[in-house]
Amino acid sequence: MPTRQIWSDLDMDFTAHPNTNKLVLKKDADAVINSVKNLLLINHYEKPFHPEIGSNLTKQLFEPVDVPTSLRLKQSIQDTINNFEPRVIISSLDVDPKEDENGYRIFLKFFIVNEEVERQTYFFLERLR
Amino acid sequence: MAYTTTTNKLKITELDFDEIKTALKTYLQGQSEFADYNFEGSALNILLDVLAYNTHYNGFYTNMLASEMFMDSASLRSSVVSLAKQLGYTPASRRGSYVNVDITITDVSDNPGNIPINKATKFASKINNQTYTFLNPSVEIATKQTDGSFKATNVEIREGIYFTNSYTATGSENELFEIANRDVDVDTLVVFKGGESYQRVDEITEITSTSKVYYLQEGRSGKYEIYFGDNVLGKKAESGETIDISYFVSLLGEEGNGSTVFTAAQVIQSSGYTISVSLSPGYTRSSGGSDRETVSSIRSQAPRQYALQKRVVTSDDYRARLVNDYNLVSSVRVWGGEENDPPEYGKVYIAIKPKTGYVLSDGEKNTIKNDILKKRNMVTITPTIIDPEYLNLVLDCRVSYDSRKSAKSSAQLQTIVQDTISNYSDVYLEKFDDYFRNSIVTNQIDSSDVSITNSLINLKLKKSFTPRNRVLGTFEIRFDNPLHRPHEGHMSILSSTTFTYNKLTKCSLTDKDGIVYISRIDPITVGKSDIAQIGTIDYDNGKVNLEKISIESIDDGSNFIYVDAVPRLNDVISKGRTILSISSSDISIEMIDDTTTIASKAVQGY
Repeated sequence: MPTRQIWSDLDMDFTAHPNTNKLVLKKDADAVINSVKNLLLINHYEKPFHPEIGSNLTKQLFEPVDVPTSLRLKQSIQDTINNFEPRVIISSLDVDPKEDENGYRIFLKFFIVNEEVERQTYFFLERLR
Repeated sequence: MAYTTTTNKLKITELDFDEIKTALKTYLQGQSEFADYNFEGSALNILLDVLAYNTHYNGFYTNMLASEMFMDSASLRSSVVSLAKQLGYTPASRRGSYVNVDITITDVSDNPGNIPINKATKFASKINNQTYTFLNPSVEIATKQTDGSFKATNVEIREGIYFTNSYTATGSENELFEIANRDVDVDTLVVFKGGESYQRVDEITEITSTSKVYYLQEGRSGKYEIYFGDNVLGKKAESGETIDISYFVSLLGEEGNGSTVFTAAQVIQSSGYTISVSLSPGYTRSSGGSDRETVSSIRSQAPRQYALQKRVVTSDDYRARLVNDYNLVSSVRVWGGEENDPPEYGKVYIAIKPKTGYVLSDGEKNTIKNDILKKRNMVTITPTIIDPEYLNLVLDCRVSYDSRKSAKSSAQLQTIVQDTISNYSDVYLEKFDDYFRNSIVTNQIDSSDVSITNSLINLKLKKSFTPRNRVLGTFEIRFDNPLHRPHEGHMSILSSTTFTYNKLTKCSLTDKDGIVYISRIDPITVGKSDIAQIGTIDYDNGKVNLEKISIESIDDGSNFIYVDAVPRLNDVISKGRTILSISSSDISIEMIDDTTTIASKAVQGY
């Protein structure tokens, strides 16, 4: 694994480093994962003048929690990452409907371009209202 | 951060969102701390969205603000009106069409001394099969006539509906009283404050602290507002004072022009009276109605009117004032008396082509002279309104077409050509200082249908004069264009409608070598002979002088003798008060089918 830092981004929490009091950055894989999460949380028409960017997952979360919806979610996530996150190559994507929890467990395995290590991230999608 | 490249120079001239964001990204290329700004999902990219959007928003706002500050670029009506206000210009309101009428009341059995006709008495007229109301803006009195009827003459009636409003002043500074109706005809506005009549003023030269005046402006909401003085320039509206206003609201504006028949739509004093309404002498139709002034008109008129300073001095002033104040005017030509032929000093001549008809009525001329010009022109100058002279063009067209290229018949193509010429006349002619361009017309005819292959127009100029029966008269017929005369002894280029001269019918005018003759075709021998020399013709200046001619009657029974002449050039110019016109009856068209006509008959000069 290379030690050189290629990707660096702001942390959306804007927390300060406890020692230096400087803004904490997200770096490398963390930055990329952060970017993917942001893309998935953006709905169409949220970005000014660029309605095409985003995934519209929110709308799907209000559909019945079942397999067809999870398939549509999976397609949306794949399309969004392929279209707007060129650093990520998806190796596997699982979207499991969790009826009891009214949400979906998303398990994403991916490669960052020019890296050999497969990375993975997990998050749970549920509607807030 | 280390800024070592030239990319850290932030571009600040862009206004579009994408360009601003690109400039920010370019700026970020100069640092190494944050590398993800180019990826749409990165937090930094979202931050750039916010920054770029904010910059774009402010850029647009500033641009809008700056645009609205100048009359040329302002787009909101309230901005344009506000800027016009600085130039002392109040946009014209919608105006009702008006006309003067004589009102005759008969069957009056109760023998009154006279009969008052109240303000806003209703009269009706039909426009496009709809009945609309005309009202009199002031009280009129019908006086008793010798035949027992009662008559009020020259009563102005104006299209509209009557409204009144009442306000109570609070006495605050710069208090405005908004007129509720947007389509108020401000010419009919009557204002009473504390029971006293107040007059509208635009100029303050003669205003004192006690002047009973009010000012009018268009407010930000688009409605007119009246306000009073400040006890320096006019009396102030004090707290508790009642302001009563009355006004007409025009429903039709410009569409109300042209009404000719009016009837009483309301009882005057007694239902037993019979009321008849007729147009006053000198009036032929209602006129002067106009729609509310548009933003583009305000934008163009306000600076011009400011330059004019409400005075008419130069010929352009007259033209601008007439076009602005009198909606019936289609085209105006103004010249000083010193340029007139013969010169008449101290006069200004105004030739007006009305929008409808050929000449203005006497009443319309008086309105223009007294209500518009007399108030503003120089004291020693007498405006004289004259009718335009019409120089008719007679077009003899030969149009060649290929019947294989179109399914249209010869008659259909002929109609198309006729419409093309009429359209040319509407667009290019019937104004002062215009040209007739032969090649433009033939080009338009050629392109009017795909099957038309060629066209040729032979042109004649036509004017008319009215002889007085059996009275010796001298006439000058001015064509104002050089006439055809290629060599000495050339055949006649002059012809006319026939008339009776010296008991001989079927006489007409001809010319030869500068002399005008009365000629006649003998009905028996069919030979043409010159009967008398009657005048001269100046080919270079296009003038025909007929001296001491006494015509007994005109053969076609009309009052006019039409005189045709062949012009030297294919292009015709209108000079002075002349307007070029093409009447549809003066267009003759011969259609020649290329596919069936042998070459010798094809279009050629003749």
